Amino acid sequence: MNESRVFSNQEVLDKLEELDVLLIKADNTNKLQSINDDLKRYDRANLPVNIIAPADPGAPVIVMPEVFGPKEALQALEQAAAAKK
Amino acid sequence: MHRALTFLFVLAFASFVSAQDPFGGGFAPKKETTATITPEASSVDPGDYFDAAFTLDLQPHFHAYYKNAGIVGDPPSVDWELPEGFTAGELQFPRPTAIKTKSAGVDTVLYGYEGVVTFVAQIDASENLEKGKKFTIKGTFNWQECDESCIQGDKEFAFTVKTGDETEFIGANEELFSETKEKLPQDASAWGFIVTEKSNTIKIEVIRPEGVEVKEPVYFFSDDKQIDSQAPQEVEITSKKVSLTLKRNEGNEELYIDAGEVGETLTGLLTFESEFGPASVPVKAALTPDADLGYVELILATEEERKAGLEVYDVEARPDIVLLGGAKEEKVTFLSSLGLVFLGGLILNLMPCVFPVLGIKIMGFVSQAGEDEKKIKFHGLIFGLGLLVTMWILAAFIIGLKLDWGQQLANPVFLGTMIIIFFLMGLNLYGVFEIGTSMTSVGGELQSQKGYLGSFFSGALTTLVATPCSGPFLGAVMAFALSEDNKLIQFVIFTVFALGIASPYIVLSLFPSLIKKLPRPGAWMETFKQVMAFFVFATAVFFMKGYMKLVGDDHFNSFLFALCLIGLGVYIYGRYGTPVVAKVKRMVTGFGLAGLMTIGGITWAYSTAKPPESGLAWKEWYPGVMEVSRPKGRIIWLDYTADW
Repeated sequence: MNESRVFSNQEVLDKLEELDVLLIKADNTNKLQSINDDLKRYDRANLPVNIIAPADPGAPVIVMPEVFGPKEALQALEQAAAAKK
Repeated sequence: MHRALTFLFVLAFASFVSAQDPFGGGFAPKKETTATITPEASSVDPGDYFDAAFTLDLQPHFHAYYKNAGIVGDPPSVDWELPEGFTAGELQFPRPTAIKTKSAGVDTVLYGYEGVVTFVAQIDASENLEKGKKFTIKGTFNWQECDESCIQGDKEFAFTVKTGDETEFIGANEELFSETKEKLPQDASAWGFIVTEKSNTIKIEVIRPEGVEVKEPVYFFSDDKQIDSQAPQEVEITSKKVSLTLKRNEGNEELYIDAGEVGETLTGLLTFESEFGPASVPVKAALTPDADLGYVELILATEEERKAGLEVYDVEARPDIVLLGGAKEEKVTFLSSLGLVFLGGLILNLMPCVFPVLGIKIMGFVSQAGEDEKKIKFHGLIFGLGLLVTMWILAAFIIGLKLDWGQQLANPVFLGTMIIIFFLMGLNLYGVFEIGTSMTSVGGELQSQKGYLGSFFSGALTTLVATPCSGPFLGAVMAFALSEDNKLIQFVIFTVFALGIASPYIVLSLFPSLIKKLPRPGAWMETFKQVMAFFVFATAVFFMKGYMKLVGDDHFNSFLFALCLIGLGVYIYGRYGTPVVAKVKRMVTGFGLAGLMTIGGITWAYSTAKPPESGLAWKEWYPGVMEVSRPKGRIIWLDYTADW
């Protein structure tokens, strides 16, 4: 999991705040069918999966690589902020 | 502080004056404050408990204080004289009110009670108490009652309680206790509180349990005096949450209130109007400074949100996807994925976690090179079969349990175990300690068998070691395999993957002339073994990166120390645990001490295998959350995760 590294990084925290990012967590520790089905919508089966949806509801969502660090997280947030349909 | 003392002194003096002249008003005799102490039970079963009630019937216009008076004032207290075997808990305070009054001409808010109020304390009877005896419970109940001035009241009390087979409640007192307990705080375990602070403004976000109504008036009574009792409290109630905006208590010169001590948590009592009348829950939550984002707790999705989500949710809908950097995702087709899977298996032999095994296997081939060529072919094929069968078992397991491929790599216990195994394997290869006469690894005895069974288990071992490495390597392909609902196709994919891993060995067996080109066994093997040890260490290091990410710096640091302890343990075993050492020393040091250190180290290492605390406010996922949230025009970060 990248979370501990990414979400403890001050730059990332600041960026999340600046962009007013809505954080949603799908905890699949108990292997819920609904979450597995939802992951399939993004062609994913392996956890962790991180998906970033730009503010423009029509823009495609960004799927993060399985392994990433604060740098990639910031890049993705920038990409989401800039994304237009 | 001395200011407060001076003030108290003045108050005490004032109360002395007022006590001197109880009928100062000259009207009909005032109703005096009375205190009554009531036990809940007449008899108690040793090991059980009962409550005692302390009721104050206050004279008109007078108030007693909550545990935080809000101003300068003393809450009621009890001085107990308990017989041996009895213990009394802290005095529990019922829901207070914020009373508006004037103090020295200044508008004041104090936290307390008027009229009749009952406090409760729990008395525990030790299970060691003898049954059938009588005990007297004594003490003094102290309180302060004030209007413009204050009076210190006290009441001595004594009641007897028997010890018996059952705790018997006193029927006549039942009503008092049931009424009193209704006014005590509810159980807060289903509630969530997120407390943040920025420039002396403290915000409490209350996440209430499903189906619980919270209506005005809502008020937060600070227990730890961190909240300014005099400042108005801003309350906002939405369908999702209740938020309170409060001011930090920085002291009040006019009212001689000291500033509250800054703490890492905020404690107090949240009072509100529920469906069933006035209610309260205790609040104890981490206070996160300098934060706008809510911290720690997961905000549960409400029933309405779930309903709204399900209405717009389409599990078949495929959202458009881009990858980081803006690239379009390439779809993996079935055939190309089979090729990738095979290639993946082949390349896996070069991965640091498999390569040492490859070396060990090649040595196995070398030692058999002198034998019959046909036999060698068989060995190679049986090795491949062992690999395949293990892969099938693993595949059945993965498919059956719906595990996903890379999941093991996200499990700190699994990763930690792998690191320890490779660390021990490296030490073993280097010669720090020996297990029997076997020079190989995990498979031990089974694997070192010369027969076909030995080759079979070699193949099995290779699969087991190779599996976790393939997680990040073949993530996309495996995701594709598991997204196929056809179980047969899933098995084909796993089979091809196993064949990929096995191919170098099978090729070597089919063309034994290649083996002949491999060097003959000899003294070089010892060197080779020791060199291999470093590759195995490299493998352990390879896993460490992932482990560090999973458990965080602090846990990882402890884990490294634990590894040192394990290393020292097996070194002592290797040094003193051999038959050359005298029996007593061998038993005590070689086995006892070494075992203790190794097991201690492993236990220690295990204790580090948990994720570090992380702290953002995450909203709970529910089907359709994206569809519901995206039109709101906010960037959304959706994290699918699991606590493995």
